[in-house]
Amino acid sequence: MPSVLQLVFLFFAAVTVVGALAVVLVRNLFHAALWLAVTFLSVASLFIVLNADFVGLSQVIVYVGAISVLMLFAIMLTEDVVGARGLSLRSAWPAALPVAAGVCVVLVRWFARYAWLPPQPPKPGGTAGTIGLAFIQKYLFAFELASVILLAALIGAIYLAKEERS
Amino acid sequence: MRAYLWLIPLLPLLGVLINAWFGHRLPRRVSGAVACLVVFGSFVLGVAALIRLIGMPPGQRIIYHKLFPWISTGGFESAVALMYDPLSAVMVCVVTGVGFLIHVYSLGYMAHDPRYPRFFAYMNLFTFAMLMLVLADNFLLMFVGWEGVGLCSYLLIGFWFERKSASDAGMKAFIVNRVGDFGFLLGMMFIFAVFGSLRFHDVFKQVAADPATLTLTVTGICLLLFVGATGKSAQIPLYVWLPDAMEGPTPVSALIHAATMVTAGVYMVARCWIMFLNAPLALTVVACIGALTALFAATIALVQNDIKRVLAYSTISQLGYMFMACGAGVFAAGVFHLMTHAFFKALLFLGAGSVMHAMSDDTDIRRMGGLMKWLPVTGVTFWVGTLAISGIPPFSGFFSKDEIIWSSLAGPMGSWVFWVFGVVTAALTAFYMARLTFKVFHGQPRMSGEQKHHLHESPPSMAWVLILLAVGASLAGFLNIPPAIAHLLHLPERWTAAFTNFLEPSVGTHEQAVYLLEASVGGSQIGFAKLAHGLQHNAALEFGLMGITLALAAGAILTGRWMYVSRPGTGTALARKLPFLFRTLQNKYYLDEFYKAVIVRPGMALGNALWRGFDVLVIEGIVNGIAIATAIISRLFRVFQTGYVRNYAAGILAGAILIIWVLMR
Amino acid sequence: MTAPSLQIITWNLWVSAPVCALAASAMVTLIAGAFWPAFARWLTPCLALGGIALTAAFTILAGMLGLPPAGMQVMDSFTVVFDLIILIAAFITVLVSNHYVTRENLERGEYYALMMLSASGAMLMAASDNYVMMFLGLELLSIPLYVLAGFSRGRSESQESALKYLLLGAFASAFFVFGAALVFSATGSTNIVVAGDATERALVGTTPIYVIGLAMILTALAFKVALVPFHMWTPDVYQGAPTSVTAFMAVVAKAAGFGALARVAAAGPEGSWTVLLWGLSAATMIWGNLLAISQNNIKRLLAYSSIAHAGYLLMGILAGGRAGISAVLFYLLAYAAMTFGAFAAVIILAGRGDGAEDIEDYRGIARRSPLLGWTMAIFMFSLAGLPPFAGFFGKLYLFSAAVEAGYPGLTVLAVLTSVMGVFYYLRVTVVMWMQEPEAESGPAAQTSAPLLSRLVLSALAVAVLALGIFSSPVLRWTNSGSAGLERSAEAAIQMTLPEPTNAPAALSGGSR
Repeated sequence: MPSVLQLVFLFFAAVTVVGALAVVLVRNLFHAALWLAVTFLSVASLFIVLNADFVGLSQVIVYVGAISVLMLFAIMLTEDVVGARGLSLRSAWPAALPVAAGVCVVLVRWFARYAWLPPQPPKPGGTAGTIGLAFIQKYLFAFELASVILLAALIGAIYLAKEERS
Repeated sequence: MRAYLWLIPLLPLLGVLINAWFGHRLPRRVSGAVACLVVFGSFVLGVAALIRLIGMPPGQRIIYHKLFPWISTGGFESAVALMYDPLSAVMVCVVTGVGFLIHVYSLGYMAHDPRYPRFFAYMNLFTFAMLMLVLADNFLLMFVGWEGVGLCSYLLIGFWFERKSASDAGMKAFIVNRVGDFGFLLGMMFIFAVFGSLRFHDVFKQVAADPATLTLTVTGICLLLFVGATGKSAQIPLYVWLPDAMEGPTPVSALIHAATMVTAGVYMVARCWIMFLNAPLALTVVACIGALTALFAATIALVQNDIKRVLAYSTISQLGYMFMACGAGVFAAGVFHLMTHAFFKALLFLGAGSVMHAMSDDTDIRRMGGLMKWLPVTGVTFWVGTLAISGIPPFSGFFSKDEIIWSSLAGPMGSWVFWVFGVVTAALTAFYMARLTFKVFHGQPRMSGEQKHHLHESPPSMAWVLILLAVGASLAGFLNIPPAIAHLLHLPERWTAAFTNFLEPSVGTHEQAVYLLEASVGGSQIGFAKLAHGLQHNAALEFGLMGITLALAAGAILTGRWMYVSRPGTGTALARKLPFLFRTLQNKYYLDEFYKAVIVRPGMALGNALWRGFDVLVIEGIVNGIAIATAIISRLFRVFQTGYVRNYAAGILAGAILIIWVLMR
Repeated sequence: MTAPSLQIITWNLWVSAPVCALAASAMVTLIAGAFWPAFARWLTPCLALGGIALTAAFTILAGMLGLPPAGMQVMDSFTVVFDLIILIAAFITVLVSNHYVTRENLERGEYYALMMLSASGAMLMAASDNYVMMFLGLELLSIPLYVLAGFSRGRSESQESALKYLLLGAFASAFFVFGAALVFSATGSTNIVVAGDATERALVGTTPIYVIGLAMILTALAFKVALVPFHMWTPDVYQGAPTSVTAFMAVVAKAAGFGALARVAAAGPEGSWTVLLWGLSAATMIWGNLLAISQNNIKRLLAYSSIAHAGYLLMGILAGGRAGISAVLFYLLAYAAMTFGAFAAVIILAGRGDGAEDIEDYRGIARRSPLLGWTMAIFMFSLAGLPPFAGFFGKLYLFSAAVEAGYPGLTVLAVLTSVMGVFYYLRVTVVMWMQEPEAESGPAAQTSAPLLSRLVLSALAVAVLALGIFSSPVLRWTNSGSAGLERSAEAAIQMTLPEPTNAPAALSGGSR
């Protein structure tokens, strides 16, 4: 008999899967982006169920708040895509199906065998403090390095998007 | 001493780099000067090392210098290491000394060529390759030089590649040399398989330690190596490339024929003297091929009308002499002739170049005559060369050739058959050289009026080179005065056979040769070695035979004068009387035609058939097959290959699944 | 939970000095290019060269200090050797790029800055002993490359190439992260060696999860070095990207992937791991060489050839040990020299706007320019693995390492496929030397180039020859690198660092 927590987990897991499927299957690009936001949200919920409050909230802020909205803007600004019926992906089915089936078989086969441990009880005070300390202590260099990566991405984005002068 | 040994080959390489990269930017004068100076630098270093070598006790006259390990993997180790012993020293001095003079000569000769820097880059590269060949302390490095020399000969002979004959000749040299190189390569592989090393020192030590059991293997190896030598040194049956090699610029011919390239085979046989002495059968083959080639090429030279072609056949013939000496077991005599030959053959070729220069590149001696009047320096020096090659005392050829002819009888593997070959060839040599010289420089001028108008002596840079070489060709013989003569003239001990004594640590003494020969056939079965030992000190016999040779040579020269100056029609009349013989010789025994009919044509036919079959079945099959296969694959996997990112991603995912599957199996 | 302390820097900064130096130089280059655009033409490449040289000095210095691993990085002799190879490659890239960016009007500070950032990512990948750091390195390598691939903004092929690379690269990176997460959940450590220690896993029974995680990490690395079947992006991206960027990608990105593979390889499960690498290597060699034969575009040909070379390199990783890794390092160096050489020649030949990129356009070019003819012949001979060039010795060492490690079958396959390689490499040479130039047949190949390009071309040709002739000392140097790798792995096992108690609970939850 699954516990309440497990039932909640299963619910959000189901929403995630359905949302992901909808992203792929829905014809309208705008709708697909909305479904993506749903998926992100339910993933965030999963994190929170698993006591990863910081990661869950980041997921909401970054993915739902920023990325999904950005995508929606991009789609709306690209006029001829909004009204279009979307791309037909029918030709991709013969390749996608066996690959997807393969992924399914492999994951089910080995993950099912593995005796998963129940999640540990949450630590008092949440995880944000711990993560923050880790970032400025043990993982300081990695943390700083991530900013260098972001800088590189920034430079690239500016270069590629900038109007040519002259 | 060691510290600058590596500079000897490096300097010419430096010249190559300078001329290849900056050559077209530099003024011509600088470009040529650089090329000459680097070779001269090598020469100076070579001589300095030689002096150092002489200062050492005779038994220890060897300098090793390991530059760096080259290949080291598993069981195979090979280093880039140099060795300087008397034999290397002689070769280095000849290659750089004569090579330097040829470089200087080229300054004037090539002055008007548009690809001046490239010419000098190739010449320096040639010198570099040859120096690597003679300085190597192992077979592998020697092979690198061996191949490098082959490549450079291809580049230089085909230097004027606009002329079809030139690029064909380059190709011919390359292909024929490849055949020989294949033999060398096989021999090298056997050496490694049998001895587990490619270092001369290791291999020879093993052979010397156990001559009796190794004879059979060593004979095989020696025969394979000798195949390589016949290719490089233009012996029967692989000599065909050398006469065509004069398609290159004349200094190139001089370099190939005199100082480098063709001497490589003789050097290699001399270097492997221990192995060859352990293989009497191989040694006999060497001697027979040498003797046959000497006579055979000399007869062809009798009737050629191209000034460079006569000299080319004479080179083949002289190389035959050297191999005959080696085959008789007297390697020192072969190397000595190599050295004197380098002087007088370079002299003759450069003289021929000077004549061509004056004659507007005409090479037909039928259109020359009486040139002595216009080209006094060339004429006199050419005479020196002629007398030297004919073996007239006191020129250098007398000493070296006489030693070979005497060794062919008195050497440990000597025989009166070789002696007869040697003497007859000597007479023929004197005759065709006399014919050439008299026809070119004496008698009535036969050139056209325009040619006559342009006749002029070569510029000083070329003339001085001829003079220097003439001095060398005259005096080099005194380095090795035979004991018999020295004894007669009461010369001091150190004058007697100085060259041979110097070389002996590298190529063995008579006693060592006899010992090895006897050991390899098991006991004293070869009585003639003892007989030869007896002959060795028979001065009366030596003088007698020397007299015969000398008389024949002098007679031949006088006959030449009679036939081509006093009675100019005689030669033609003789040719008319013996049309068959004449035509056979004129056409070089139809051997080129024979090769063409027996080897080249069927080869080409086979090649063509193969090519057609190959072309149609395989290449087109592959091409069409690829096209069809690509079409099928792309139709099958269009989803992956149409350039759609999603399909590529699916491929990655499929691959990941595959990896997991394999890992979890 | 420990109290917050002011002791922030807990490791010796010297370990990170090379990466920091290169990234900082990249910033300087970027700023200089932005503030003095008038001098950008010569100032930015000079600054880039200076920065790279400075980084090399830092690398050598840091290597001499003999530092213990810190900050998820190892400064062992493997890192030093590898970093220097990357820096040499970056240096050559700057020199090779100069002609190209000038001709195609791409001369901006961003170009060199991004390239240097990418190189620092490559260095980080090989220096990391930890999957987290390796991932950061991977991203730092990749993100600038995505931009660089699309650097010719005017050309749609360049844009397409960048987009393809970005999408697929991000996809592959996702595999890496997910794999690393699984490894962590199975072992409680992201340290490569510690996580790879099988004894502890076996106690908890998490080996399957670990192996799946490792498989995903391998997928990402295999994508980066273009092993079959993760290679499909390579020809498209290589063809579309600016040629100088293609050269950088072909050498540095590949080298980085192999550096990371060398660190990871020892952590693989026994048995099936070797089977897997064997199969990947074989498939890559066969497929790369097979498809290269039918290419007409020189950049696509070089793309497939780079795939084939990845197959040979993987042999060295499979053989492992001192000889195998050392052979890989040597081969990377040789491969860098000959690949840069080939691309440098391609840059010159293509002419303005990359017009002539088909092999047929090169007909008879050697007659017009002996320099291009000779150098290209040397690079092609070397790529084909003919003696006495670097490529031959690289293959010799790889193959002999594979034989000694007990893979004669794979070696035979490698020899056979390299014979296939001779066919298409020589075709380029034959077209350049033997065929008559056809009048009016497509865009004509160019032969004129500035002095710098010619010098670089000849220097690379000399390097290819010199690496062949002086292979032994270089091999000794790379041997020290592989020895360092071995020592570090042993040291890491002995230390078996306890995981920090303050690790985020959410991340470590689940398995333990």
